[in-house]
Amino acid sequence: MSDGVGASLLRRPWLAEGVTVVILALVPSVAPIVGVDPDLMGRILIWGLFGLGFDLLFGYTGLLSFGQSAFFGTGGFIAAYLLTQNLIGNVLLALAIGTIGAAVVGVAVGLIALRRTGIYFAMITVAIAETFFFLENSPLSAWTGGENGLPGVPNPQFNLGFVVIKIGSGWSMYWFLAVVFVLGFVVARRIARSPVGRVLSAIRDNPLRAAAVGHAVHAYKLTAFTVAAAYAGLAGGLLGILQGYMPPEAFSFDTSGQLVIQTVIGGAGTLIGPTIGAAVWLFAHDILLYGLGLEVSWRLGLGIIFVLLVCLLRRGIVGGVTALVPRLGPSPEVLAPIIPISGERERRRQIPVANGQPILEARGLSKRYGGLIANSNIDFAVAEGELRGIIGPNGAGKSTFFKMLTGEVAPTEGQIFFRGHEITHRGVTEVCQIGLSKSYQINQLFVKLTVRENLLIPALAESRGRFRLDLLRGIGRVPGLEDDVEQTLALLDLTSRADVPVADLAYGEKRRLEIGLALATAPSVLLLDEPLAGMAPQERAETVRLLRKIRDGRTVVLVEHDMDAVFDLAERITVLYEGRVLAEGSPSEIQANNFVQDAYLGGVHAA
Amino acid sequence: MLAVGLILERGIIRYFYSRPAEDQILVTFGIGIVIVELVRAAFGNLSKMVPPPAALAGITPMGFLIYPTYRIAVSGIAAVTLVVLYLVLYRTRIGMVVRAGIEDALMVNMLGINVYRVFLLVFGIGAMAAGFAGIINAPVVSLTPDMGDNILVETFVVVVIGGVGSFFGAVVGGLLSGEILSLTSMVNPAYSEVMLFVIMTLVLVVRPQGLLGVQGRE
Repeated sequence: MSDGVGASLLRRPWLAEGVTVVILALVPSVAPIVGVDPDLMGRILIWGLFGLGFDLLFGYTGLLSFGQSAFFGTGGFIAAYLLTQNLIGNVLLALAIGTIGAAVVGVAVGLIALRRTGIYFAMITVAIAETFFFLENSPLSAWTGGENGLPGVPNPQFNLGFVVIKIGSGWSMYWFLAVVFVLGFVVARRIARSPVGRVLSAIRDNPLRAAAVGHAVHAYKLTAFTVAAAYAGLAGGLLGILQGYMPPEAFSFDTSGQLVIQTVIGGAGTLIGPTIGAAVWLFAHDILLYGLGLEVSWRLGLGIIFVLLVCLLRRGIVGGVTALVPRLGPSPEVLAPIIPISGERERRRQIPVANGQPILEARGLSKRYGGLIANSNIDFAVAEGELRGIIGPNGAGKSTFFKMLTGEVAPTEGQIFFRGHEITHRGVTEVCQIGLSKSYQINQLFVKLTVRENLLIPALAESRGRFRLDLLRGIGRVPGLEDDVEQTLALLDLTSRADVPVADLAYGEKRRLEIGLALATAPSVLLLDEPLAGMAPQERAETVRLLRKIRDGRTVVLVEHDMDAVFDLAERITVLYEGRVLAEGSPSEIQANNFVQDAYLGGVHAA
Repeated sequence: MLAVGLILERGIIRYFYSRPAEDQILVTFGIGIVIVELVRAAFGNLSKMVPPPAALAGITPMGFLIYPTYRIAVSGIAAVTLVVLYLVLYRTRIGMVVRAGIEDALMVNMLGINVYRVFLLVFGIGAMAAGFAGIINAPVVSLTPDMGDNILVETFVVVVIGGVGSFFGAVVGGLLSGEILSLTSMVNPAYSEVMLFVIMTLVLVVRPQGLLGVQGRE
């Protein structure tokens, strides 16, 4: 992460955990002085735990769910039911079952809600959470107690053989919750810093590009959703244990809303932010409501603070504090080189197999948008190792053709083959994994990440495949990753700019990084859609040099309007005109072709 | 309500057109809380009843059943409002600007139309329409400061079922949702809301863009 405490402390991997443990250990001695009781601290920790999962979903993945109450309630009621019915005596086991139950429900709900994005995703989660509220209230009231909830949830006891630890309602309950919270915090931090965590923040920044460089975006979103549901379920179970009673309000919309508000107040994308937000909320609630009896104004005040934070300070209290403390600013050392560089890493997709077959072939490819014919019956074949140029006037169908090759757009008719295997309708993620990647005409970067982190995303897709659940693996433990990223940085001449956020790059550098994102997936066939577009002459020259370098051991197809560059670089050129192939041949053949001159350079002729 | 809507749009909302959908949700959610709490501060927390206007009180026999007159009037008002809204959106210049602005605000702006002034108007009218709906709905339900919460959720369910960006989708979704609620209530009232969400889920699984929705409009 380029942002937040979660990122800045990566240099000292255990610092955040250590500070958290120390603070939590000091609380029982400090809190009584300021009049804070263990019950309030316990509730803060439970909401903080709830928020850890939610922050992975919202702060890291960018999915704003207003339905977390469904999982909070599910986990809570499962655990409370098992304990109050004496079906399970062990509190930890009941909590675990509740957590798993919430996660299972999370998978089911995620499968439905993740079909939409943005505001519709948020509202579907609300609607589903409301369903749970109604289910709890009447159809399932035989198990959940309906409006009465489930009273009589027992306190935990741990028999360690030589001594029995009984958790009561005072500070012993706090210690129990603090231990669970720290465990949850450690796991959440590991997830945030795992390869999966990196992919999640890429999805937040640019889901389309994350899919295009070979990540199964939907599966990763579902993972984040499920993890958040599991945290919610655990927190719900703990609430029942803390209060000795499982309240039906756990399922209410206010629960979800409170979680969102606390996360924004504390700071999204920081993991610890929701806990800070919970402390602010619950202090305000207890002091203003119970202490001063101001029933209305505490919510009003928090509402105004919330609106101001959304408008002005997107990263909440934690974000504001880290901005003030320069020492905690974004760290330059995100990828610690833990694994020694292995030079003999197999670059399996780059070894050309010269067997005479075309590596990429399109047969009879057509695309119609209603009555508009973008591409019509295109036959196209590129040989292994070739550098092919595609030219044509604006509107000739070049970009549509490219999008069909990479699986971004489904052809109306025709087939696409890669090394003789059909890849039509396989979708952009799988086509990228097979070995076909494209750089975009308009930059599609992960704008909140640094250059290095950007290149990490396609490299992860290349080394880990389209989906892998290595939630707890350190990023430095993916073999060859560091090496890959360094090589690409050097190739792009961006090594000195590696830790600069993308937003601070010059335009030419962004264009090179755009090519780099496609390149870092280690494609056998690299498609470049107008790589020189909008560049100054100096930048063009540099980029042309780059293109010469990267074509080594690789097949490249280049769409470009810069004729000098195309005729200079390409071995063969295909001319598209009005959606059809007008001509194909060597640069000199194309230059001499009368049809091309008439159709494409006609304006020049006439003048 | 028009005034409140216009002030909010100028003061806060307009800065959010260029920010992600999540920010827009958060800020409107926050404003909602503040307004609800202000209403609570001004009018107290207890629910209130509003009698229908005297002219529309009582019941009307309709041959096979008798029905509260006010509810018939509400149906009429809703139908007229829908027709007017349709005519404005699809038969006037300003409606055309609104529809074009949804597709591509920047482009419309560059064509020399101040699309952001139109958005201001839309937001104001939206706030006014919501306030008007609250008024005509008041005699049917009991009034509480947070009465809007459930309506909001149901509204989105209607839109998701009907289809985003489709005028008739919203109408069909609304009628369908009403029928689902009523018919399920006849069998078992406890399941009526649940049933609504089950139908929404089914629609999403079978046809993610909604019954009459257009693919790619979010």
